[in-house]
Amino acid sequence: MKKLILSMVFVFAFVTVTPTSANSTLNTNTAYVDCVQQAIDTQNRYEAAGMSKERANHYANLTYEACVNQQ
Amino acid sequence: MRILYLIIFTTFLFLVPKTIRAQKMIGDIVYKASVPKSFSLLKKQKGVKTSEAVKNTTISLDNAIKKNIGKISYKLVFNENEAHYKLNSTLGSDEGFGIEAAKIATGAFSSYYFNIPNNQVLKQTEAYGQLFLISSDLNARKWILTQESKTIGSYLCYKATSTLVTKNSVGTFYKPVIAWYAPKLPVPYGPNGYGGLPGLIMQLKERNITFYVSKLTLNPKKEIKIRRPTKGKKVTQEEFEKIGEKSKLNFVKMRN
Repeated sequence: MKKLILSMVFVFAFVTVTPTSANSTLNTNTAYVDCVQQAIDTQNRYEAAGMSKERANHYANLTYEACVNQQ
Repeated sequence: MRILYLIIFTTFLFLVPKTIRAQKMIGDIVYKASVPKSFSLLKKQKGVKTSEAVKNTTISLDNAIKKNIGKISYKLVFNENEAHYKLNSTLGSDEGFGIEAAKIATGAFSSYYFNIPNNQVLKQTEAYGQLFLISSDLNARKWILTQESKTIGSYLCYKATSTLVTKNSVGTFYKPVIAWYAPKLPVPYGPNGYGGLPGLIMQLKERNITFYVSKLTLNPKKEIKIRRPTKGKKVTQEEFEKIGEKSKLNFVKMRN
């Protein structure tokens, strides 16, 4: 189940950056956007190193989760 | 005529036990993995820039993998017709960042089912929020068999080499794979979906990760059950790659 949640980062990322949230969560959302960008960068860089899309995506999801947990 | 009978009888004596042994080849194997101290997910590449965030992420992942890879093991159960390879356990650890990183490094998101009569390998994998079943031929991989040998445990093993071909959004990459197989264990199975050799793979190096047999039980007293996986969306490797690309594009669209 946890893996499924991890692999749904894309969906969570979309939800968290949707501008319908209350104003008080604006700063947090900006942080989430950074985490999304970091996940995208990780996936792209790892693919450039010859990693499979699948594995790079797993690392990107893990990176995203760790980043969000640090916010 | 007597000599002829003697030859036939002697041949029979030699062949029958081998046949019986082959038919009773049932096993339960634990594979573990290791990485060298110099292990890193990224190496310097000409013309490829790495952001500070990705550099820091990679350092964290590298350290997590090196620290936790020893806590992960995989189990291969097999008989003469079928085998199943999957994550076994994570020894005394919570499911934190470190363990997750080591699981990804060793391919824990996939399990493999081998079927010799059908010449088939079924990969069941969790990716992009879905469960997939990807079928391929057991003998599809081209191996180069060499005469180089070494002993692993009590088994004489021979070296075989192959190439891992990875197609992703950037291009096609080729990386060497080295396997050591034991002809005395005449089953074409191995770790991480690798197989098709004239003996069990006792050690395998893929990228800079080495998989090795840490425990081997032949003909265990406990009954072995091998179940063919059925859950997951059935796709070809090509279709799976396209789904991966589509997921990434959707993500980028969401980000923008």
